[in-house]
Amino acid sequence: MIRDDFESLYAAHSPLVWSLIRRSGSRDADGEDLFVESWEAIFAALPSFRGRAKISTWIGTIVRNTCIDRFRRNRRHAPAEGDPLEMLERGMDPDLFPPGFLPPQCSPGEEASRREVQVLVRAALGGLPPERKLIVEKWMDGFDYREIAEILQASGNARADKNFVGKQLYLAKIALFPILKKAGVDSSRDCRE
Amino acid sequence: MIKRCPTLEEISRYVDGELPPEAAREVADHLRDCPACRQRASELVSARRTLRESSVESSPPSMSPGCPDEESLLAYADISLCPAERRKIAAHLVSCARCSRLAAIASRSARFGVALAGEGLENPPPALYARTRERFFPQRPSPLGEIVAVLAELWRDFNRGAAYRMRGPGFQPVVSEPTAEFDISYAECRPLPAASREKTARSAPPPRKAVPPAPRGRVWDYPIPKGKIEVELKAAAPDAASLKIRLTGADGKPLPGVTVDLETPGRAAQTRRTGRTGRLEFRDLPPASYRLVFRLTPSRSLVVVLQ
Repeated sequence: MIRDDFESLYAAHSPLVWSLIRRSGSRDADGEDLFVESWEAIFAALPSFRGRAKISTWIGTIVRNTCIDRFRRNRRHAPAEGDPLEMLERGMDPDLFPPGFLPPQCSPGEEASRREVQVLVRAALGGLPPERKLIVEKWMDGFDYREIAEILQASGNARADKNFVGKQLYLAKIALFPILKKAGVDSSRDCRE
Repeated sequence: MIKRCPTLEEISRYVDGELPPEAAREVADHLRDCPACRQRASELVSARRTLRESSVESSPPSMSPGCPDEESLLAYADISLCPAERRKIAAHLVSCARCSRLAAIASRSARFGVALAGEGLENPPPALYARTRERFFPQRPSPLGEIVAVLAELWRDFNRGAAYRMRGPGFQPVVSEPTAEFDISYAECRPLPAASREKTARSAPPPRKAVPPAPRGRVWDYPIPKGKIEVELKAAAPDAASLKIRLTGADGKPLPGVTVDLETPGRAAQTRRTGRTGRLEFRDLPPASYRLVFRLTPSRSLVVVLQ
């Protein structure tokens, strides 16, 4: 790596990296360590970046992966959870960063219960109509309605649009909700430390 | 605030961040004041998290021969692919759990970045710059420590846009001979080879009017970290000179589009931009002290002082 690359990348994207890390919940020394670690990951991967995607997207993905790797390595760094509804009000994605992607730290009993919920969810998904199942799966991956509609169109459903996806997803949630309720999913569920 | 409670479908769309901004604001206002709806929304958020956690653990990613590379998935996520390529990848995502997961994460990262930018990005503490830089360019003692220190100082000067200077035993300034009333006083100036000088002199425009015999022009070249600046000072008359500048990159190709400011006390600065050939010219310069500011990148400039 030459210094020019470092200087120009740092000048242009350090605010994004820092803001992402702050939003992941890391503060003070942890956040600063994570910041330096993220830049190490960015420059380690830089030779393989070909410029097809926007560099901000590429950097954002690396920072996110670095955060999650670190949280997984050392659970005590897992950030405190914010109020998901407050995040929504600010237009943020409440489960892009941990804790959404970090399996909660549960006792063995709670872990078993969580596995049971997953088995139930998978079984319930199997009972949905194929197209609705595809919509729920893509939504579970994290796509938004527009992107899911695009994937549906590519699979042959030319009439799929955002409203169609929203409606189907709502119906699927209604179908799945009793299972989730039965498994003990409610607003107070949180077995994280 | 909405008069009626929103439907469960509206709340579902709100929780998924899929309502238009105006409608989302109304629902948010309503949820603040309606405990029953807030409870429903919280349940939907919890259900969403449970479902997404199930997704993470239910299908371990494995790459197949038909999978696009990861950067293509990133490009899909930030909508920088052409429509045909987008359709191709979208069709692949129908059946590939691995790529679907990666593209979804990239897509959410891109949206998250846009939302953050909308809120205003936060600059990292200044101390982190030095700490990060130290990881990549550690300062090691060496027999050439003095030279390294001088180079480091040079680098800082480049970035600060400070007046250029060099110190240290290995770098004795090359003092140029006075040419008319001009003297380029910065270090490391050295004449180009004779052939190059003659070539440049031939290409110089003739004097516009009869003037007393003028001193010969001079040509220096100055190495920059990724290229070269050539400065040709030509005095057409004792009180009017022209300054020709040519910028080339490390590969020898011209550097077009670089902004150069010529500043002098008591006068407005003149600004030129290098053309396709990497050249520019300032004309009719009276005797004075000048500063040449090369704006190589938005974050980097090089200042050369001419006295």
